[in-house]
Amino acid sequence: VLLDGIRVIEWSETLPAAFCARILADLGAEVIKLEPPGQGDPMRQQGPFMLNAAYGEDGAMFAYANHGKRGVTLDPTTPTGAILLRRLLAHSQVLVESQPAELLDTLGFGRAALREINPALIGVSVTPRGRFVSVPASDLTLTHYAGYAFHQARPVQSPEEQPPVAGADREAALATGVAAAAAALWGVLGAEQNGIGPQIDCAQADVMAHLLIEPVADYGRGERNFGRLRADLRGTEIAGGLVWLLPCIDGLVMVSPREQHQWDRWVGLLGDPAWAQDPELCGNRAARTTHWARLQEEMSAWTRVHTREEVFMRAQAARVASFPVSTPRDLLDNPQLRARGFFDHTAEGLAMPGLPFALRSSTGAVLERERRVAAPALGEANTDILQGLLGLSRHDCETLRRHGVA
Amino acid sequence: MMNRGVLEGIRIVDFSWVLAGPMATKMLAAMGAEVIKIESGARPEHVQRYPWSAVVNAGKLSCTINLGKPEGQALIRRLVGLSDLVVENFSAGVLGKYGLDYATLREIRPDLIFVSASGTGREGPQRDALAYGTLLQAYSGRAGMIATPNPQLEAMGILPAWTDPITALWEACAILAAIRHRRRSGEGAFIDLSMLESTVALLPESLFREALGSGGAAPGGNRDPGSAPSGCFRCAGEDSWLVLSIGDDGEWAALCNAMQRDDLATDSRFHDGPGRIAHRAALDTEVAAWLATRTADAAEAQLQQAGVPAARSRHIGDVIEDPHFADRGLFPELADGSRTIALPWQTEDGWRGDLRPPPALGADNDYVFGTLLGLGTGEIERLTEAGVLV
Repeated sequence: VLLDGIRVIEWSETLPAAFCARILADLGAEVIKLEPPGQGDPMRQQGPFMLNAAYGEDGAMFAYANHGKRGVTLDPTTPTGAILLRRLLAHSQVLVESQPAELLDTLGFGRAALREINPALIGVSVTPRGRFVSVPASDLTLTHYAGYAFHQARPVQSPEEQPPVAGADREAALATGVAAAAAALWGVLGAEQNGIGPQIDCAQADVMAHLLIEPVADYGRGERNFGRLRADLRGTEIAGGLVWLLPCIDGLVMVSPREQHQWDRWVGLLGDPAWAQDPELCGNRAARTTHWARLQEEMSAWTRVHTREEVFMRAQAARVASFPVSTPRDLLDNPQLRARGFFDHTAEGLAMPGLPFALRSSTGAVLERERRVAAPALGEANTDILQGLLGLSRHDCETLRRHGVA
Repeated sequence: MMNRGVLEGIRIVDFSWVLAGPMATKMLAAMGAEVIKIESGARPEHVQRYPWSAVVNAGKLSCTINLGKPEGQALIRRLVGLSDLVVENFSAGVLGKYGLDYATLREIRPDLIFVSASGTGREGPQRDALAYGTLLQAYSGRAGMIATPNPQLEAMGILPAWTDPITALWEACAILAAIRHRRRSGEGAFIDLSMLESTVALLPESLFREALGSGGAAPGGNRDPGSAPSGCFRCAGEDSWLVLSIGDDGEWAALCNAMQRDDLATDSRFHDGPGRIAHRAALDTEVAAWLATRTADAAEAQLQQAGVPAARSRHIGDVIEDPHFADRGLFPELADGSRTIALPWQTEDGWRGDLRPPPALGADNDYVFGTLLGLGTGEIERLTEAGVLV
């Protein structure tokens, strides 16, 4: 376990913060997730649901973002709850939260107060726009605000019909969680060097904007015209000459025979058709870019009578880069992902993406993959943490429960 | 104050190129690591450099060495002996051919952390698959979830790079955790990072809906199934767009108030979330009509003020020059005038990494071969003329 000895307190009801803490749990930290007494994290009520799991423990996204954690119900906005959280933080290394900075100040968890409680504590604040910025936002609005959506629809033939477009699935929130986890690990390395922990401010808008590598490079070289209209329909740096999207019997495949030797092997695979002998049409990359649409048609004639699997396997066997456009079903059945043990499974048998890397230490210890995972039941660790770690009596715990604190 | 250069004293031999690896090692350089790029004037892609090279190579050193020459390989092995990490993303088998694979290098440096990033991973039936980031955006499924696939590859998640910078974030996590473990245990590690898996890990809801047969759709593109009205709407002015998403009753009330539409606020069809989602098309039409005559700037300010999640869609120029982003120092201009991207987080006093200009090709040959490896001037000249240090 890479993060042996690291205890993380998570006080949040957002996906980015929860995913940050889950990654730390994957890496071996003990993560204690605080939830409001009663219903718990609202994400428990979000679908899709696992039909054969208990009510409140059946939310698949809740399970994905929270498996491997200890669950404690505690309301730090009550005076007694705040005292208990202070005691927990004195015994912890990291606090991951997504609370408004003013609320933290009011409750005695501002920066100065935290430093008094535990100078080595690493504060990781995960918010939409920054610790002290309160603007209503969602994944969708943040992706557009940060520029990613605009550049994902640039260039296009018809800007009026092709608006800026945000990403897929929960990418914006989860990418922020990965960045926040990296930030927390940076904090751990620093705090372990001199006993002083940082306050980290990780904003989703920053994370999204920081992904825009090519547009930042364009700006850095002096580009200031960011019109979206594709000025020249004959090709771009990607479509035409570099990458083609081709129709197959059962879906779409992408292929990229970009170097001359790759192109030669690719048309060899297509049976060296007559059109491929014309140097004007496809003799070099520039010609292929100019005539990309005609080549698209010619190549489609071959791919249309093959399956994605056939094109993918045969192209790769010829050392030509090619992959199908996967559907979610394809991914669940993907032989590469399965062979690598990428998917974890819940007790109900639901496959969940795991960490995207295998790690083996020089002594041969491996980070477990293909795990059986479970999200914490509401308050499952209350007794362990409140009585065990904080030393409360059973009677104390009864009182806390009666008053809605824990 | 906490020591921020937490990787000071860590030396990294960086074979990585294109985008994902360089982005990750740039983050490590910003945390104080000494990152030595292994380049070669014999490789056109190193001489030419990618257009985004300045963005992802801030703070690194560069030396030129021809890996095809046995003497070059021997020098790298000596350098690894003085280093803590190796980062690479070669095609399968390349480093093994040069005697620079993990099995060889761990003999020289038992506590080495060796990070191997590849399209589909170094194990498994497709480990030798030839992959590019653009293609992995298709293979991961994201390109089919954003917009309708089209031969022009427009607006469907192929551009700009996504898989690469996402892989870089995961790579940073894996490396920092491995360094922490090494500091406590003295153990090195081999890390096998898959770009495909890095991308798929952020697409869970689509997989769950498929596996569970739940129906419905995960969010994707400008679809936000849990919110109505929601979407990307045309505003007055050239190519001007505003997105908004109404996720709860409070936001709905705020929107009706901003639009001065009491009739909508009191319409029982739109009274709660399920009702609004059932009448999504009608609501989106109302919003579209209201926004069509307004500038996106004015609408954004008014809606945000009212408590509605809304944003004008911005291009990178707008983002870099936006007062909020400028204040956060995310895109610093370096001493050489180049523009880079700082760490995706900041500390309470605005620190986002120590960033220095990117190196010219071979700028640090004297330091690497002379100072570190102890070669004399004559020896460096001989090796340069012999085509080893080029």
